Amino acid sequence: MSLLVAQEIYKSFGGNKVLQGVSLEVSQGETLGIVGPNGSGKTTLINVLSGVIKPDSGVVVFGGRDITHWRPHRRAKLGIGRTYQITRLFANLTAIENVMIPLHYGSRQEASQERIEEILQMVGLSHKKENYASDLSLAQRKRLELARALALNPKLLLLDEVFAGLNPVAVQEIVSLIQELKNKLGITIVIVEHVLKALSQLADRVVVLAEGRLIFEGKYEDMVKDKEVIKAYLGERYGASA
Amino acid sequence: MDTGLQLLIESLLLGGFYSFMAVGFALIWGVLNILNLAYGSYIILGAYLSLFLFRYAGLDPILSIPVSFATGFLFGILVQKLIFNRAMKLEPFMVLIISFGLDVLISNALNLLFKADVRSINVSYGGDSFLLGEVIISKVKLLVFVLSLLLTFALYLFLNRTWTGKAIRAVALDRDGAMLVGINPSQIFLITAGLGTAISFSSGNLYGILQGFTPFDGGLLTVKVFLISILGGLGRIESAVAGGFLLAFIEIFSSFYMGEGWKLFVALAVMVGVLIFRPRGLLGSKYYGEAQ
Repeated sequence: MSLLVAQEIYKSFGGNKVLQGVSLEVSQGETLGIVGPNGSGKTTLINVLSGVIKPDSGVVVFGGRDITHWRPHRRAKLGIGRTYQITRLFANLTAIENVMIPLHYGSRQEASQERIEEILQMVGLSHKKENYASDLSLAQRKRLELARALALNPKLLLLDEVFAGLNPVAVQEIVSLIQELKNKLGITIVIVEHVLKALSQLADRVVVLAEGRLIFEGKYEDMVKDKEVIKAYLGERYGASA
Repeated sequence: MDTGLQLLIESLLLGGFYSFMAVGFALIWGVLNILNLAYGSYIILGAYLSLFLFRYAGLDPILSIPVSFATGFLFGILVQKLIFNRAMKLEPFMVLIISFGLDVLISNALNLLFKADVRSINVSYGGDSFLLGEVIISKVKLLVFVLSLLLTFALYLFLNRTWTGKAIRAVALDRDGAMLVGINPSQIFLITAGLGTAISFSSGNLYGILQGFTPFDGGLLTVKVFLISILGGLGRIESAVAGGFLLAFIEIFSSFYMGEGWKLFVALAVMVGVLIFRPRGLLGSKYYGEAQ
């Protein structure tokens, strides 16, 4: 069964048509990768799914409910968590507080010490729990952002370029972490990613966006051979000769 | 008698009040990103409210602080709902103009009701003072100082220990981030506007027993809370407290050594210096322009 359905999403900023009729479905427990060149509308799509941006037209359905007009805080309560390409943590709050707030406000769970500890443990940050978010390294901030999303008890995680700016070792660590979350908690994941190696390890299925349209949908292995995709990334000449 | 020490004590006593007076303004600025130019008039409104209760109900201005707080809270929520919620969707400049209009409206309404005469709340303990070593301490100033610190500390506890307080801080730090973890910012805006206005009204009670006031004193108070927020920085209560004490020191010392007329000049000059060399203020956790 599809947990998330987006139908015919259109979004323009001024004259710039960023999304031009994007439709996709994500099944329960599946990990869907979204790739595409810069400016192809990936982040806008994530913003539409998390409710930060309202689409001009189109419908977003989550767990059978039309949430197109829901604001982000209501979606959070439904169990839609997200991370940002550039982390949006509460810089002047501690790691504990960053996790405690979504526990209380988002998933309406009791924000007990044990639960907070458990979540921080899961992302490997229990040794940094008293630190302010602003004092953490980039890789740690990414982990904390994952922890914050996990505190929502999410059914769906939207990950926007988690690996951006990380070194290969940190990338591999976070790949393992996400795999663990997927296997242990069975969370459905939509992941936007430029680091294709990481994506190949995580995604069950991949869609490719180019100029606001879906040009490919299928297995990762097929994507790298697809002529349309190569053309979108490398231009006409390479696409023709590939 | 040691003049320096006396001035120091005076500065401390005044600084405590200034901190409390400004903390509501800084809160509204930091969380809602509204520079509320009517804030000074809110303080004066609180002063007249406590004068009214003192005259006609015999209620001591200290005892009527809860009344002012509650009235301010409701008033703040009402103004936010009716005016600022709409204005915030427009350009930031509109909010500034509207709050200025509100300031004119309030001061003139007070003028119609109470006339332009200087009013004061003459509490029975108003004139007393005592000697501590060689320093003269006014009982009223000490009382206002202690109450200001207590109320500021209560606000500190509220922001740090309660869920609503944490949500307010989260919204101040990152509005979008707060929404993503399930916080409804509209609700937090209302509470913050109510709380900030409640603080302004309550500080009006204290202002009223410290000195005389007229309906048009709000403008100068707005300048002061603005100065305090710039000097101390935004984002934390500690910042407003630091700014409040700093402004009090500047005012007391410059008016003693240079003359009363110089104090605002010196304070504004220091503010310009702070803006150039340390735009985050003494303890500010974020540059005021970064407040979303």
